[in-house]
Amino acid sequence: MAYFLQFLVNGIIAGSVLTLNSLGFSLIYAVCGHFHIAQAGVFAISAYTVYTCIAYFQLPLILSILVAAIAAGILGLLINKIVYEPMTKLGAGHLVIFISSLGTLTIIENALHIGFGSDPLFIDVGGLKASMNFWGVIVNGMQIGVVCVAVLCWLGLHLFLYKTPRGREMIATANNPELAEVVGINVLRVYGITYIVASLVIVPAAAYHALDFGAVPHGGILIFLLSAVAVFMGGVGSLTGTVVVAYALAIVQNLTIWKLPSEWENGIIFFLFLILIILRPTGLLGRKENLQKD
Amino acid sequence: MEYLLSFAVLAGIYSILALSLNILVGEIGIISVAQGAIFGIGAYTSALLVLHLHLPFLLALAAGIVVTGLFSAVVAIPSLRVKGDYFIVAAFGVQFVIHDIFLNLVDVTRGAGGIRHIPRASVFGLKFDSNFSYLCLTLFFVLLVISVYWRIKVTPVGRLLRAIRSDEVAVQALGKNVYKSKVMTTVASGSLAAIAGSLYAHYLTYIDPSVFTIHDSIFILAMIIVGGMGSITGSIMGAVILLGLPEILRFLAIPDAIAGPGRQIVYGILLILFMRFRTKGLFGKSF
Repeated sequence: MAYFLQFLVNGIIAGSVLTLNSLGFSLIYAVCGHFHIAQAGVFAISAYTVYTCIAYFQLPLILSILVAAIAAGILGLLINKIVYEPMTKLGAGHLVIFISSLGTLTIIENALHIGFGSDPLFIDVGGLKASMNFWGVIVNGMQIGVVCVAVLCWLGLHLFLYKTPRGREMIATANNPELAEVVGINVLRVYGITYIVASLVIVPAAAYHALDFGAVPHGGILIFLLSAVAVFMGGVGSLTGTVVVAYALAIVQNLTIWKLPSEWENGIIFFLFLILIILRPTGLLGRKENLQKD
Repeated sequence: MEYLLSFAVLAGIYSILALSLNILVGEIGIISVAQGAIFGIGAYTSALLVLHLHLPFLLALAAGIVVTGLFSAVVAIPSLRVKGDYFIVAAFGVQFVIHDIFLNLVDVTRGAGGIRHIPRASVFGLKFDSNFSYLCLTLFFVLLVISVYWRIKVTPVGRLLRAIRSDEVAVQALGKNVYKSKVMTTVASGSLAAIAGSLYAHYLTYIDPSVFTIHDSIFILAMIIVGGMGSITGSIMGAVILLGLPEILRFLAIPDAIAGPGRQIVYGILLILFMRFRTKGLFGKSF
């Protein structure tokens, strides 16, 4: 039983990291329609920024995460501005955006590889990693932190989307970009804001990942894909669906490690993905019209 | 001379891969980032069958084609029911899971150490030992794959595929079965990649998981983007150019630690530049 609880808690922690990533992916995918795989590169850059700030400049953790957030926001905005926007203006299709995004990711990952090497770089944060024992379940301060941040980000994003004018513009653009343009919304600017917000959301996840597993150049891609799985399984355009599935996937993944060799954890997730899209192509909480938009 | 011959053999093998991926991306417009893994399934299937069951090369190659074809069908049937992005995710999943299997199913694949001492290909007692004879064998299969591609391209099937690429809904409205065409094309693409896998395994006589990673899949994708989507000449030229590029860079005396990732950066830049300024690639028609 204690084992079960431990794996459940590990699942919730991993689910928080996945949730933050999924919110970022979901936002860009729903609003801009871009399969922004370079997000995995933004994730990696954030992780290395946190590492550099702590290891070279001895900044406190919170400040390092803030610096990483600024770097991520700027990078997200730049990728959209330099790479996607000229193509969007030319009316580029899905394929074109995806392939250039893949190119961007390849450049970022390998630049980091040249700059920092491919071995994981660990960060010393002292007391935060000290483990605490709650009725046999072991957690550390960092893990409690990431769970809280994930919940806060989810609520914050929800408020931002439904209660602020900028957020409503994003929803309008997601639902119908042509109509949004007609009623005077600057769609390209909305895309820009979306990229900034989506890049900020993933920073805490990247920081946690770097603290726990070390920063690696190719570290973002697998989490990114799992978050794409969470978004598609949860239903595109449904934040709640995305969050529920992200936690469910991470918990399933951790419970599998309990019973099966850990090599197969990702295989099981992708297998579930294939099964679910046979049973329910719109995702758990998705609506049908989201599928027709291509 | 031997250096040139072995380069030509590899260029032939990668041309087959590029052609196989181009049927999918260039003709019907489905993006796959799993071609490296599919290539690997063909290579492992063929190598293991020859080593353990002592099957003749051609039979092992045929088995490789069947296995990858079936495997492609298993992935394509669920993921192609919904829109293209689901297939992208499924393909990434395939790429990672298959690589995990090559690496971790040690009893069968021998893990990171790879499979050694794979016999060179031989057909009806004729052994392809020298580079030159292997080049002839490879060229035979390149021509075979080109003729299959050509067949698909010029027949009504090809017109249907290209129509699906430009407007899926319109094709569906005409009463054509879009879903079935997509699944069939994916299976065909996977089967052709298996030929490359088998040729590769029986040429180098050694395979390990490091050749079938996501980076190799992106490398193959870059070949057809540079060469030209939907173009036979483009697929072959793309393979030759991208394989030749590192050979040229080798003369620039760049340290090894930088050369590998540096090459990847060049591929990344090429992907973006071609998408921005010349989507049809060097030899493709308008895309």
